[in-house]
Amino acid sequence: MRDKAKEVKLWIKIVCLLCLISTSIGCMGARETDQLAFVLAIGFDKADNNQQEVTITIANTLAFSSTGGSGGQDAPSYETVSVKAPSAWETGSLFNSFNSRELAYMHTKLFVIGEETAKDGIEKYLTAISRFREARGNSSLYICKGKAKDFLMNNKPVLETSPAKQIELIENTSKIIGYFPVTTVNDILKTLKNLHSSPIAGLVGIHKTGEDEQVEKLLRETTDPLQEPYYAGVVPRTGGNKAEFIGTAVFNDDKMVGILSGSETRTMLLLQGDLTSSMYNIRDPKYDNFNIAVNLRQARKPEIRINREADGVKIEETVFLEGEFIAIESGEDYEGVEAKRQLEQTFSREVEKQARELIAKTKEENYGDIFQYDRYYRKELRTWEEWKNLNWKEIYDEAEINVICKTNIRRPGLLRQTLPILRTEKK
Amino acid sequence: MNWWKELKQTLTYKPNSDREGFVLKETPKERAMLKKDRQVETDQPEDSNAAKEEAAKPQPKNRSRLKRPERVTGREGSKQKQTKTEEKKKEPSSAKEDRNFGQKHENTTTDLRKPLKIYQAQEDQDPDQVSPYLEVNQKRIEEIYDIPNNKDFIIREFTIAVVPPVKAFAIFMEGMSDKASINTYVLQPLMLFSNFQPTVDGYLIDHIERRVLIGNQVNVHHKFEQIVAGVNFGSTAVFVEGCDQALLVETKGWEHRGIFYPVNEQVIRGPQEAFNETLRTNTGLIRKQIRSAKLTTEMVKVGETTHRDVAIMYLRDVVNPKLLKEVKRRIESLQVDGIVDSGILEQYLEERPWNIAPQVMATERPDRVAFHILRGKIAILLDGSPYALVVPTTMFDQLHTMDDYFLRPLYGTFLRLIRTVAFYISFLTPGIYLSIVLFHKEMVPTELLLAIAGAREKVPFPSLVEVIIMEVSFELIREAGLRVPGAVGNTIGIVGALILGQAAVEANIVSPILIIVVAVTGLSSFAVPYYSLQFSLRIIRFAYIFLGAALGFVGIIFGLFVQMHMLSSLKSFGVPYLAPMSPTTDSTGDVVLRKPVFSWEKRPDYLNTQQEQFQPNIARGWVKESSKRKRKS
Repeated sequence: MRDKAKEVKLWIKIVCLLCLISTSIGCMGARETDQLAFVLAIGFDKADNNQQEVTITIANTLAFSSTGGSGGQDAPSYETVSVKAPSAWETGSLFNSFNSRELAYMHTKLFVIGEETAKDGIEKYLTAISRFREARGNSSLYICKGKAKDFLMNNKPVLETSPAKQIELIENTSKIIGYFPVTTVNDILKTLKNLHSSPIAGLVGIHKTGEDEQVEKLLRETTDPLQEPYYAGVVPRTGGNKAEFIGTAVFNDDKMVGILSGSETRTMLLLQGDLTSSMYNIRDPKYDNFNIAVNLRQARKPEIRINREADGVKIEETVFLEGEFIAIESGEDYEGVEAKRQLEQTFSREVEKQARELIAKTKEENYGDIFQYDRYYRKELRTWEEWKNLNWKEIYDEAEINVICKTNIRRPGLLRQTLPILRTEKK
Repeated sequence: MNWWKELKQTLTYKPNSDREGFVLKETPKERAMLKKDRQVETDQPEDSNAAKEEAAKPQPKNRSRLKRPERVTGREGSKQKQTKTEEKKKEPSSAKEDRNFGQKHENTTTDLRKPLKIYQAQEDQDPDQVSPYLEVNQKRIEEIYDIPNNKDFIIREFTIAVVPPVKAFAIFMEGMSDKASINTYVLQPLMLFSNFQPTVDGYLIDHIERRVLIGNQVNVHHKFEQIVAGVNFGSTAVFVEGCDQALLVETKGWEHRGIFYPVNEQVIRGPQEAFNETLRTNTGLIRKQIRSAKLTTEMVKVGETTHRDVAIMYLRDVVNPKLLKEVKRRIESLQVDGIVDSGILEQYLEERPWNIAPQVMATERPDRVAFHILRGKIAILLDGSPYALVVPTTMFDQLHTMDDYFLRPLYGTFLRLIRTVAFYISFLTPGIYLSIVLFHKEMVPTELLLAIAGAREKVPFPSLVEVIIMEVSFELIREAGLRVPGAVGNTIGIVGALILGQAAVEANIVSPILIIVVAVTGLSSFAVPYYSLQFSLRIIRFAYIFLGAALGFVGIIFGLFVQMHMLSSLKSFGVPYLAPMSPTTDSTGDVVLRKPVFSWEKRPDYLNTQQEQFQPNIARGWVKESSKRKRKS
């Protein structure tokens, strides 16, 4: 009988546990997919009267259902709305005055901050995003040339059904071309809180048809094919999605101070060691009206040596590029060993020149260290106190920075040797 | 606890004699009466008055009376109180007696006794012994088999053509005996050819056995118990006037299925034969694979009424003697009326009937049984069942097929890895789908989540209900497909799947993504080779569905934790169910991956076999010494 009583007790315990489990239902954390509105992108802007304007892009899941029926594929796949409120976080509550579903930020791919807002400081946004459980620290954060609202409202991806995929894919092109850096919330926060160097963020913008004269000016100024002076909003083009991803926003602490153009961004990435690959165009050393295109990738991480000398800090950086020919317009035989060596050297000098110019620009415009050289300086110090009190910007501004580029064009592409055309008319 | 009492009342059985006609459980009064009844039977001579009184009372028509043990040969009263164990002990000794019977017989016949009258003989005769009087024997046989009513048993009376002629009769069972052999090997020699020899040498019964009957198995018995057992199994018993023994001639022959393809355990490569319902054929099929004198087949009779043979097969120089002892102990201890199939035998043998995992492996493939016997396991075959039981078994055995072994190691490993994936998919997928959709939406790529959400958009049910609808209908298709008779059976699966899948999606009852989830789960569960294991996974799947829906991944992990403990605490005939993984024992690389055949050097460590070595370290004699790979040691 005792055994039986024990058994009954055991069963009672089991039933109680099951009841507990079934009533707790995961602390009421379960949400059906049709209870939620998935926010794909958020934009933060400053509005008048100390107000904040928040723009969000919500996925319309109905457009993704494969079964037809009424209003299936015809519906737009996303919707962009914006709300004004005294604080950015209050807008979230206001959204539900006209939006039937609970906002879910777990798939937010993109945070955009307007230029004006960024100039006032972005720390409050960064910390809020990092603290919030649903938002992901590894989503991208970009600075918009102009207003974030305009960017999100006008961003209409042509090839993709949703901005989420557009952002995923366009970030991949950054690895191929390197005209804008992919910056996540975590990256920026890390630089901001850990390092003395200046945080950077990718620059996005809406193509403006009205600013033609600026584009014209840039076009006129550009003579060197290695230069790519464009930034988001002023790319000389016609048609396509209005959103542009090119250039870099530079911060001092959490305030935006300036922008870098496409080619400057590429050089910056190269010096940081984050450039995966890029297409370089240089003028043919022998023919002025012909170009040579090479596809180069960073062969290995750059070697950075920091020497503390009596007359200041000396930074020596060596970057390595390797790659292949894409085009030799002139038809000159650059595949030969000697010709290729000469070309490589010419090219290296050009890259070094660009690097020098960029470093000079950061010093002139008071951007500070955007290459994160202080990571290498850190091992010269012993304590966190020393690090905290370090005036890195001053050191950087006075430092002598020397960049050496080593290029190795390994492969000629599918044409192994350029031969002259068998012309009928003799020279 | 009033409600508790009421609940209990609704659940407990109350006899309703108007409807049922009999009472399921004896009342205390009846029990007392029965006890008295039995006492009276034993003390009958002293207390005959009481017995008469009892007899005068109306007989209780209850179940206990019906269930009273009835021995085949027992006449009421004489030996009824003998317990089962005593009988067990007696059997070998009686066999010995039987063997020495001839000798004894010679001794006893030195002083001849006066022949008795039939009625006298009948009175004195021990009902279990064959009487020298033919008439007594015939009466006894008729009594045992209830002959005029029982049409299956046929008594053929005849005269043996010796000088002088001797009366005799034969009894055999219609249906299990071969008529042609009875005619040619029993009746013909006895009635026609028995007068080839002019004189009878020695005793008549020996003469008949040695000179007349030409059947290949002829035994002499003097106990009805053995004779009846033989006749029940298709032999023909011949009783001869004046002999207190009977001849049992083997004339078995019944309709049976031939050896057919394995239906439920098909392989592409390998033997294509399966067991059938005849025990001897089955043991023969195994012996065909292992032609060794070391292979022992022991026979145990199981079932008080059915008397079915259970064969225990093992390699006696390999098998662990303790394991063998345990298997025999379990089978011999069974006190059941009858076992119809090895599926029932399996349930009698396994130690944890409520654990969800099967602890005995059944197979219809002789090659598989032979393979396991070679590794030191024991096969149990029940007569009349086309499945052999292999003990002990581990979960990994149940996840293997013979294809894995018959194909080259890389192919076999590939098959096993596929099956490993299928194993997990078959019980986890719906649960994981639910926990992702309900709790962990950040886990899937955005596009996939939007696709899932889009598909769910028009479905009016919560996702848990949706999953349960689909899972239950899938189980319905599965069950119905199995039960639908013959020709329709194949189509019902396809029709059911099409209708359910297509129409349910079009009616917005379930989402198309879920159809994929359920279909993949169903497919995977079919990829698990052992049917009982499939079943356990199918049931567990529902537990994971609820856990996933209630607690998300935390619930799934809880479930896995509990399931793992359940499995690792399980033992099959003393062998841990998850061996050789947990506890980790030495293995020959034949668990998840499959090493090449020449590296199976040891038998499974967890079996503790007498011979550890399966084959020498270098099994391929032709490999040159110089080309051998150096062993790390």
